[in-house]
Amino acid sequence: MNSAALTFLAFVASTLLITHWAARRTRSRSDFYAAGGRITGVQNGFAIAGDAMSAASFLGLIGLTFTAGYDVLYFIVSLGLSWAIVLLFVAERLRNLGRYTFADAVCLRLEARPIRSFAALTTLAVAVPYLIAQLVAAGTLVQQLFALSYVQGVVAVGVLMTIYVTFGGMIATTWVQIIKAVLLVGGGVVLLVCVLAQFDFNVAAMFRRAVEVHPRGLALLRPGGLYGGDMITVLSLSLAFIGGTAGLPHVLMRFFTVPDAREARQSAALGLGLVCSFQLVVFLTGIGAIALLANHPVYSPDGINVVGGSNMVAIHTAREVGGELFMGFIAAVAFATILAVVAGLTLSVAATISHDLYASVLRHGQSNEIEELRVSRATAILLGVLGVGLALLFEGQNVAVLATLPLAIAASSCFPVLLLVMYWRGLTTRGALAGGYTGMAASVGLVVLGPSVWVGAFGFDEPLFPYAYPTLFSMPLAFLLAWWFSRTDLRSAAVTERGGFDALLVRMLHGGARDTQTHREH
Amino acid sequence: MGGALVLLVLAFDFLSVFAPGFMGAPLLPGAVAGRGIHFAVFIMFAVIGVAIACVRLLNREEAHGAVRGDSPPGP
Repeated sequence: MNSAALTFLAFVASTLLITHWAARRTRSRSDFYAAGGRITGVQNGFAIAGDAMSAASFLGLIGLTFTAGYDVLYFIVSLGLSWAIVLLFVAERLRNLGRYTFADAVCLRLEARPIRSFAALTTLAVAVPYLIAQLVAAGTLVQQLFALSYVQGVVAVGVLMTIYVTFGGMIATTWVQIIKAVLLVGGGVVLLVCVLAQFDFNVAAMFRRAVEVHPRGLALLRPGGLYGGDMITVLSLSLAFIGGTAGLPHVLMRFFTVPDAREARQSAALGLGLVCSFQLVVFLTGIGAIALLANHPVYSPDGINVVGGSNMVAIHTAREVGGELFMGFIAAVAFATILAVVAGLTLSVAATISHDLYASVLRHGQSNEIEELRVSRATAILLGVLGVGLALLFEGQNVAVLATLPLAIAASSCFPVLLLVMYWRGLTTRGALAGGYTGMAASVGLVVLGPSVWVGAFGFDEPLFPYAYPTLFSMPLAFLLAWWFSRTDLRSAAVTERGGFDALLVRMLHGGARDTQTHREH
Repeated sequence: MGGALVLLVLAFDFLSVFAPGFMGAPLLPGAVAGRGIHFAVFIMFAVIGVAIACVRLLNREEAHGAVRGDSPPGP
């Protein structure tokens, strides 16, 4: 058994033990959805960082730095800003308003049933493509790293994520994220230190070497390697990250796991610090990887392409600086990263289906906790089966689009509604639904017509919509329609909804009794 | 503070797209890493700095509020 398999098995064993422990502590709905609000700010900060640091932000960005150089910085600075937006504008207010899902916060002032239906649909639209992309990545990675088949990899991840969520709920999911974040940050820092050691810890020498060996030379460290002079794509990408991060349901759920707004604030700040620092580590490691691997006869004979694809750059670098043992460790950490992220996604879907859709929309708030928990667990199992089935169906397909969609949808539907409900008195249910649904439809439609699907998946020569990220168009459209339909809403209910803003503001700023909140059920 | 960070990122995007020569030029003579890379690193540290400042400020305000006996009015 190699070091990768050993490390991964140790991770799985420890997380299953935690799930066993968490299962005994998960007795109520509050325990299942929000860990009973008993997670500390520091623990939640690590868990938030775990949610934010997917395999794409580690393997993907190191690989992209290797091929595109400077332009990776667009991703990195946008990601940093996105967490500042979460901290400054969302975390604390959301914690004071919500209980289990972001719809709880929105429904305090708006009509509950249509808003909860919208929340359930957007959560599914965000989580399912994200889940499939992660499972497909897991299946591909497992073939390259553990000498297992694609099916075995997908099934292993699907079964484990279902076990974590079904038995351990939010407590187990949080601890899986914490362990993964510690492993990933620790592994990333050790990898960077080992890379820098090759250059006697002289960063300038590492950059010089990278420029010398890369076919693009000095152009590698200049803008234009990926997007050229395409301002629209760059702005769309930035907006997708900024709004998307603050609108991802599984990230928003994290703020309900801490006891108060102060802890929510501290957890967001710690998560931000970890994510930003980690992104800098990733960029420097990418530059180091160029210096070490470009034109290497084993890893990159032509200097641009890497054996096994760009996602393997981090793994090859680990092997080059630390041998088979370290490579195995980094590979296992990458696989554990996927596992933790899919567990978080599954929990967010289970929560919205049982809490928003089943309990509030279908049962009109008449269901009891046991019933709701049963639906949650059944949803997690169903999603596990569905996710594995779809991942098997998508084997060998181009799933890049599935990674693009979630951020675009979250930025164009959840984020505008959440921001407006917290900051604009004039928002009404009609405006929120018009903006939210249109933003979702526009982002999905434009991604389908764009280069990722129209050319990448359907095989047409030219895309009908020229940009990979539609957020520059879909997000303003969502805000505009939310504003227009709210302004022109003359119903008597709209007057009540606008009037409810003052009470909401007091609650946002000072907190309130979360478990006694009453929603506007119609 | 949030607005300043948004402006910094927008400035980074605009300068990188419309002035790639400027952003790619070395900050110091003889250096390889250009202004853009240093600017990006500065933005990331600015984000972390703003986060620390924001948390400290709000915690202090909360502590002062508690000393004055400002009880939250509740919903």
